[in-house]
Amino acid sequence: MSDVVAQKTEEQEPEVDLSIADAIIDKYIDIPGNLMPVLQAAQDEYGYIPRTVADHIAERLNVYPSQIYGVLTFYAQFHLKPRGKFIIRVCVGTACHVQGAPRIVETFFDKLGIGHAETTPDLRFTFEKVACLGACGMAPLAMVNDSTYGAMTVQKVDDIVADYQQRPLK
Amino acid sequence: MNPITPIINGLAITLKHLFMKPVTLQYPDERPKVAARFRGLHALNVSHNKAKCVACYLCPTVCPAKCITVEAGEDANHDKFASKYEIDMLRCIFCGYCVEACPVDAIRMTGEFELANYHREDFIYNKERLLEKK
Amino acid sequence: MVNLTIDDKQVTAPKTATIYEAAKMNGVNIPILCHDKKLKPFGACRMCLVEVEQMKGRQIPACTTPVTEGMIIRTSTPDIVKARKMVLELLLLNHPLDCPVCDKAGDCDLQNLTYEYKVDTNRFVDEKFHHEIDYNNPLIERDMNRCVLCGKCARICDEIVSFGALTFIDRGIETKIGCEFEDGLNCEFCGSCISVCPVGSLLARPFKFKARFWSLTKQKSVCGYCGTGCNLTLGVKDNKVLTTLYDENQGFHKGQLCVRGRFGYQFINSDKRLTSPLVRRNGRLIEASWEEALEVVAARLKGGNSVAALGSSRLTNEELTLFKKLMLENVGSSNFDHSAGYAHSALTSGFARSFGTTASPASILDIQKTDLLFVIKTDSYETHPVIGFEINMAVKNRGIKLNIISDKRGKLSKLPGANTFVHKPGSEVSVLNAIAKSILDDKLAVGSVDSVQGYAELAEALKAYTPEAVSALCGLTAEDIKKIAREYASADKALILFPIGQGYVSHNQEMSCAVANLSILTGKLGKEGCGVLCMSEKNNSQGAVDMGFFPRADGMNAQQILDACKNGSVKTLFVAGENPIVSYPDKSKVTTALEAVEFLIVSELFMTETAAMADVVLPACSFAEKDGTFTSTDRRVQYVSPSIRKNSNCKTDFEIFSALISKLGGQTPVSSSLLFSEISSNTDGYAGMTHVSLRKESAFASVNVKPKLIVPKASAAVSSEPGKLAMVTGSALYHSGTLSQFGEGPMHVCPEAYVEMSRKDAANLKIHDKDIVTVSSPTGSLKLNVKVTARIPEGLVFVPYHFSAAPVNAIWDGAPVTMVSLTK
Repeated sequence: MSDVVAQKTEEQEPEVDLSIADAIIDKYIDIPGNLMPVLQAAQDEYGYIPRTVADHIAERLNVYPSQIYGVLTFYAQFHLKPRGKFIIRVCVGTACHVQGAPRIVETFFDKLGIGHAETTPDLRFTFEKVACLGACGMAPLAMVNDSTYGAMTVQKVDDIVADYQQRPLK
Repeated sequence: MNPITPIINGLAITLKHLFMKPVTLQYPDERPKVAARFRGLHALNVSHNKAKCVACYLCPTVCPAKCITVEAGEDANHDKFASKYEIDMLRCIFCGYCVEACPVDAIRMTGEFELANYHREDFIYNKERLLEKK
Repeated sequence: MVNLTIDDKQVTAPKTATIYEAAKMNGVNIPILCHDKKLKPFGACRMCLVEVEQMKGRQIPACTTPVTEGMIIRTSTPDIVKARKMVLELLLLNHPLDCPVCDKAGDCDLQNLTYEYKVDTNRFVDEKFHHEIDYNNPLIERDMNRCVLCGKCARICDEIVSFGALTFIDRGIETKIGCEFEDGLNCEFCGSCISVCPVGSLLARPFKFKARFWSLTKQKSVCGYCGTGCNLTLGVKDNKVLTTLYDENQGFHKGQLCVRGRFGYQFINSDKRLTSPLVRRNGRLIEASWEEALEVVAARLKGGNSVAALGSSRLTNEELTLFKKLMLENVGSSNFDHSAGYAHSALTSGFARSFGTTASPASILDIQKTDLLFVIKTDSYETHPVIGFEINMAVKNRGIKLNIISDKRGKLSKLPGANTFVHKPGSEVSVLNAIAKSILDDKLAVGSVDSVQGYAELAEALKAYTPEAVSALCGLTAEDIKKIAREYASADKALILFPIGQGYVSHNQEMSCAVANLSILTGKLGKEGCGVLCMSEKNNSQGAVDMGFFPRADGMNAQQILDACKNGSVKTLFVAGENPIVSYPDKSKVTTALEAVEFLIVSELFMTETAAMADVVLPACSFAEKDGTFTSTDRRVQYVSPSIRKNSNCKTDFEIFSALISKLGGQTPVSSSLLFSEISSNTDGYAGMTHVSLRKESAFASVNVKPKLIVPKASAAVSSEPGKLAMVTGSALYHSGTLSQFGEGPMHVCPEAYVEMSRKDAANLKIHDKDIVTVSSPTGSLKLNVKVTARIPEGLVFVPYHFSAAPVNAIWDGAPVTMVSLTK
């Protein structure tokens, strides 16, 4: 019955090159407990786990599609939707909250037109609220990919967004 | 005893009662005042223009006379409602268990006690007839 | 056994038992929500907490803790009661209190426990869930707001059904049960999840709001679909079968059912049921009285050999015996048959030759006791889903090896460690012969085998079937064949399973002999966990064979009867419960035969295509309205009593045949139980059975095997034709015979015929899933929906045979493999 499901999704999602997934699966196919490494490798390659890939992995590894979905939703590291090139994380932990993180978050929402855990349609930005980034001394704190921005202000939000808007997507 | 005494006593009582409030009612010109806890004809309570009854089947289950027939239906919102709710008043013993059992306060007993009818089938009160009294 | 103390009571329990099981065995009730005896211990709900003195008063879950010697257990101290109350409070925090509108009320574990532990207030406050409720599914309604996350549904779907439709999604407080990518359910719809759900999260939609659990009369019965012989509990109210109920103690299958058993009951109270005898007058079927109709029928039955009968293997043993009596003694004809004449040949001709008996020398219970299961055709799952569950459990829980030879892959191929050898369609007998040859060549046969009758002839005949020679025509490599032979022969215990039925023409007497040879050669016979189980198609197929309702030397078989109808030598045909126009091969031949026959009598539940052609139609009764016995595929004889009163104007087939016998001047039996005592004294293996004893407990009819090696003739290989695909027919998972068309449940999920094809062929022919194509064969053409699946190998298409609306017999003349072409 999994094939019935597979067909359904082929109509909904954009074309995904399954040969990449196949290469990953071939590498791990004989190892017991291979689901996690396969999913992690697939996420590295595709940037997220498209449904067609999940169904394909289910079929090749002979795992229930539902079980794969259970794993994908359990771990925060897996994403089911395409992610932006620049992941903006804003800390809303205690120290940052006290220092005005909610204002920063609101400003990002307004600037980008997206909410928590959402991605802009051009796949440039993904925004996430996180609990603590471990640098409470720099509160309120934001991160874009690996760069850290401490002592955030509303003005700084504008600068950051403008800066990353300039950068090339590819 | 003087044979006349009892007659006079009797007349005295009669005379006394002439000036007392009568215990009988001039029914049907006069209507009795029904106590709030009187158990008369049932009524289905209405809320938001709908019968409150959710057809949980507790009243037909608890009914000792087995006089309640409920059939449940599914409305457009997938909610449960009584598509059929009938009480056979010829069997009902007016015990009020149905009211007690109802978890959603959908049924009550009114002061209505005039239940005479000419035909047997008129004693079967369907949902519409039970809803009428407000 | 270990000794322990439970609530100050000295008890003993097996070493492997958990505290919960030990307590239950000794009459101490520990409350549970997440535990089911069929499933592995899970320990999620914490309702079964108990105190064990050795563990310093810690509270431990009884369902996951094994017993040890000298344990002192207390199951209901004030502390434990307090803890359980707390668990319930926490569950009720999110569980909606909508018992009045929840169909589970009355049968709800959470409700019962809440009542028992008097949890009437809650110290905590939280918001209820707002999950979307799945109302769209026609059979299973899912309301995750009521879920207590016991995981039983997901576990039963994995451990027993092995489908894995449901799983835990998300984590923490947001955890819920659902399908992949929040889809709707698209599964086998066996309803096992509903049966184990302790709350109202999973409900049977066909039964929704129909009645309350406590108002149902629970009637024990036996399923009327396939030959597995599952026990049912029917929920009856106001003389209507409203649902099937779960009883975990029922039958070998512990209450497990498939989609047809659980959801296919609606035909019993269908308003399409016939309610009056019909007699054809001036070309139209007119309602008539029973007296009139039976008079007409009796008059036409006085024709000796020009009368023929086709029975159904859904009739009871008593009815079949009476039907046979009517034909032999009162009509004077030996022309009677069932199941198209060939569907029983594996037993009546194959096993009769190989084993000297017409029954399988193995039972369903052997599946769990064997070391290796050798399954012929993955369709074994589709034809007998509950036997399929047994295979799932054997492979998953006991690590029993599973080898399959089949013309397509299937559900069983997905089991862990399952080896599926896909051969070309129609080459089963060659493959089996090559396996036998390989067993002989590699000296894997038991030493004493050369003394078995027929050994020399077989050894000689098998010379033509070297694995190398066969591999060329069957598509398996010689090494594969040798491997199957090696594994089968070297296993301590091995069991062979194969389905038979009207859709499986190639599973005939030759194949059953070839299968029997394997078990005789390797000595895998007559021992626990060994043998061959021929899975008969319908609920009483084995019974029909045991009752001898098939032609002897002097009688015609079903195909000959139809030929004789056509050429006029059979003038009256009595069809009881069969629908040959849909289920027999070659529709046009059957139709011509039924048109040609002078007088056609049909006793039926519904106005089927066959009944519509009849001269007299007699309204009969379903299994739920009559008493009698059914014999399941492994010869378990089970008694059914009427669950509901029959319509007063319908007669059971028993009454119909009795009335006809008396009209023809014969002696009618007093009752079916008296007739059964006659059956039990005449039938091999049935000795000692009575209705009274069977009512208490079903019994196995013994099988006495006299092995003999027979040379099976392989049919000629089907030559492939360019541009054409090989069509095979068979059973769809959701259906059984043509009866399930009148069960609403199966029709909701599988409403019409389809053609299943491989992805490669679909790509070559530019056909997509859900397209409508015309399938043409030399005998006709048919428009069918396309299902493109991964399980079908290139060059093959599969069309199920159950459907009247698109009958496969319009393009299928009874050949095992038909070459067809597909056009859009």
